[in-house]
Amino acid sequence: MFYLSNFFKSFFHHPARGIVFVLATVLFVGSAFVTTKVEKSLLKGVAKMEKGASFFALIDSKENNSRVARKLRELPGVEKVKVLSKSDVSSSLDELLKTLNVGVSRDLIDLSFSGLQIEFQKGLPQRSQNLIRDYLTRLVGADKLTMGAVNRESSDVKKKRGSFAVMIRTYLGPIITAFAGLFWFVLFIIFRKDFIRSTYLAEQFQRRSNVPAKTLTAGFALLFFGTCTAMYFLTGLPQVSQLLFVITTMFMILVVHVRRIEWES
Amino acid sequence: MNFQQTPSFSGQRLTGTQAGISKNLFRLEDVSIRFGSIQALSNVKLAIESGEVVFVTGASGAGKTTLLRVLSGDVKPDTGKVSTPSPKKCFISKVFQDLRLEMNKTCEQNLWASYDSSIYDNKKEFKKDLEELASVLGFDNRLDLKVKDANGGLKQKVAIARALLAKPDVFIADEPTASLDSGNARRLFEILNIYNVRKGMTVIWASHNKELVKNFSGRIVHLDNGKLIYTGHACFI
Repeated sequence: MFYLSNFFKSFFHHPARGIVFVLATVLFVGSAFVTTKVEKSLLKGVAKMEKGASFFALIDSKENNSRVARKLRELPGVEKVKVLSKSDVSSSLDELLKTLNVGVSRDLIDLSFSGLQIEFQKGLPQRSQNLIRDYLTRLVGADKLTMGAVNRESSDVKKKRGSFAVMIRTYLGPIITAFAGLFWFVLFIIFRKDFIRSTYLAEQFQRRSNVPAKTLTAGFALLFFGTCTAMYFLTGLPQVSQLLFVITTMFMILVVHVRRIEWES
Repeated sequence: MNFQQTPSFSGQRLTGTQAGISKNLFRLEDVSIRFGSIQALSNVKLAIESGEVVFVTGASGAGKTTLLRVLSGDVKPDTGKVSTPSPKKCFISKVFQDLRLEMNKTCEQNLWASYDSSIYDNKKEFKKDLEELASVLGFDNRLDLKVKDANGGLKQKVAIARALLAKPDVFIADEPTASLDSGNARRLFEILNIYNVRKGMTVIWASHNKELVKNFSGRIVHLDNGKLIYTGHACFI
């Protein structure tokens, strides 16, 4: 208890410094846990970007496009059916013209169409996609419907997602921990003067030995295990390599302080 | 060189054996230390017994501080053998020349550095001792003063009080009266004698205060250019 109270007394001699140091320690230890969380949330963002195959369809405006959309949504394999606004139709039309490669100016095209964007579920086989397109043709009638080509599901996104995960795990996590560790170490060096003095005096005028190392062990252990417990409940398991880095850094500082310290005037 | 075994006081003083400490507390055999081109100590032979009061004298640069640092275990000799008591059995409290006080704290806060729950029953007991010692040393009305605002004499008194509050078995002081006037120096000298007689505390004190030496009844260790010139009663110097 003496060592723990000595740790907090020496770092909280200036309360602001104490708070900053404790927060830096929490940040450093917590960085080993946060990576998994960051990875998950970033990948979630990437997953949102990932879409199944889709195609555009232009339907005669006399047809009830809401009914067509509803019917399509009921089909298995259809992820989403979007009824397009006029501007959407316009841009989709451009796309369609490009796909058809007919070399006709858009101004010459009758725009009495309503548009639909039909998105298939991810990984839906080609055969099922064709069945859905056939169903739409039968539902509306071939003469009232113009369908664009299917935009294939991008395998690039999948690849990107994989490499992104690897990048986060390999570089981002360790970089966060390394920076947090550097920040923590610099703060420790700046704030250690009061700590050195109080532990030196305790060793000189009280019947105690190895006061600096024992004091740091008590303080670091409390902050480390406290943060680990809290972060475990908040984010789950840590990245072991980063946690080992945190432990090693703290241990190295302890080792340095096992030797006899001198008074810093 | 003969090892002197002369007790400085007779009467009620506890002997080393009574205090639970072996008789030969410190023993230096042919100790030499060199700092660069300066020979700080040269073939010093010295034995100090438990319960002795030893006054280390000599001009500036004679090797007094180095001798004290060897005795307190802060410096290892280049050659020779040093035998010092085990820290577990014998607690050494030091007053350094640079005092080593925390300037932004008050005198009282500095004294609390000596509070050790293993030798004081509670904080109340320590506080009582603290106030008593501050009163004896004459700074009880300035306990709340920040050390950075204190004069040299007060700083020295605080450093001495802090060392004494640790209830040491051995008290080592390097020029503890340097900033004190002759009256205060004599008073401190008397206080240390009381600690020596009543508590069996070994006192090793380095000073070049000749006035104090004149009235001193303990043992003198006189150094000159790192060499031990004389060890014996002050009356023979």
